[in-house]
Amino acid sequence: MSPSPKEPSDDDVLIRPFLAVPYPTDPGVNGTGSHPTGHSRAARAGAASPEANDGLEVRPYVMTGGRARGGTDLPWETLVITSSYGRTVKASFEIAGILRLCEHMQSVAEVSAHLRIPIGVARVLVADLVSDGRLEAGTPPPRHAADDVEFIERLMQGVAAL
Amino acid sequence: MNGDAPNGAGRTPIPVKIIVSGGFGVGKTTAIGALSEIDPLTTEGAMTTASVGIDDRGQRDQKTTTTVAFDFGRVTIDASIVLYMFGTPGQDRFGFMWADLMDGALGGLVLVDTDRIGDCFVALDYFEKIGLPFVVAVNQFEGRSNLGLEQVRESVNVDPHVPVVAVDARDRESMKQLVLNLLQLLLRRARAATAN
Repeated sequence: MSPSPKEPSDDDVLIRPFLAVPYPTDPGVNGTGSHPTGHSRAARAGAASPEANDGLEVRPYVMTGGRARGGTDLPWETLVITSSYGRTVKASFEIAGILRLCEHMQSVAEVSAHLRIPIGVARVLVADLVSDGRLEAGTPPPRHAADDVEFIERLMQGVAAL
Repeated sequence: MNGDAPNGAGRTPIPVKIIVSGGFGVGKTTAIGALSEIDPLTTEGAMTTASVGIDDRGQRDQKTTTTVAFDFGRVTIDASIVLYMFGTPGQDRFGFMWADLMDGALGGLVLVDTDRIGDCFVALDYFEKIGLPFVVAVNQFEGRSNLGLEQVRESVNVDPHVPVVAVDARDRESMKQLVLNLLQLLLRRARAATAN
């Protein structure tokens, strides 16, 4: 009669390591919408510094003048569209490609994918083009939409109707 | 420009995203493609070698290539919301790119292949660490699955409120249901937070 919690009787079942004890039922965890606002920043601090991306990525950054970050940190899903100014002004080859693509609204990720520009570079270029007025940024991606009951309900209705 | 979701009437759509993760070959891109209105696109992380511009397809095994590929799709929900679904490579050595991507994500879908259930552990660990709400989805091609959902739950060892469900990643309706499962989870959390 072992009092041990759950004997893994089925030895075929792999149990995720380091949580070999059943998940702690923390009363605070269950359902609280406390979206850890600090997490991304904290995770990023160690994560996204340019040198953490190792030294191999030199070449694409020629396009950005060596910068790994633009003035703004555009989330990947940020939507942008070419402004009327951007449609008329002359631009270098790469920039012209972005401005042409974004005549229809695109996300930064789509700019990266369609033009085969690494995402980090696309973010810098797009941010620059937004700040000099050749691209217009759409509604910024909400940071805490998951905590917004009304928004989630709208999203559910929309998904159900797809 | 605070965290509130603006009411997007007459404005450009509000872009939101969910993250699709799981082991290599578990069907992430298939899942994204089943819902996406565009063929899944691939964006590459910045870890490219000097061979920029050269198509590296077919050379995926070359360890010298440190490209990190993220497949993604787009779903226009209505005139005011666009949902992006981003697939993450399921290896922790790409964690530094994940952090960047996860920022502002609504939640995650973790796809599980019961033949290689351990492949999803990295994603589970990561989502738990950053506090991203997620649903565990057992991908059942042709109903093939050698573990029941309860066994999968036992194996992945997730918090009891995390849904563990079956999905056919190729099937649009099944994927819709999966996304709804995630949104229901978010709704419960949001309501609980509001009630407090």
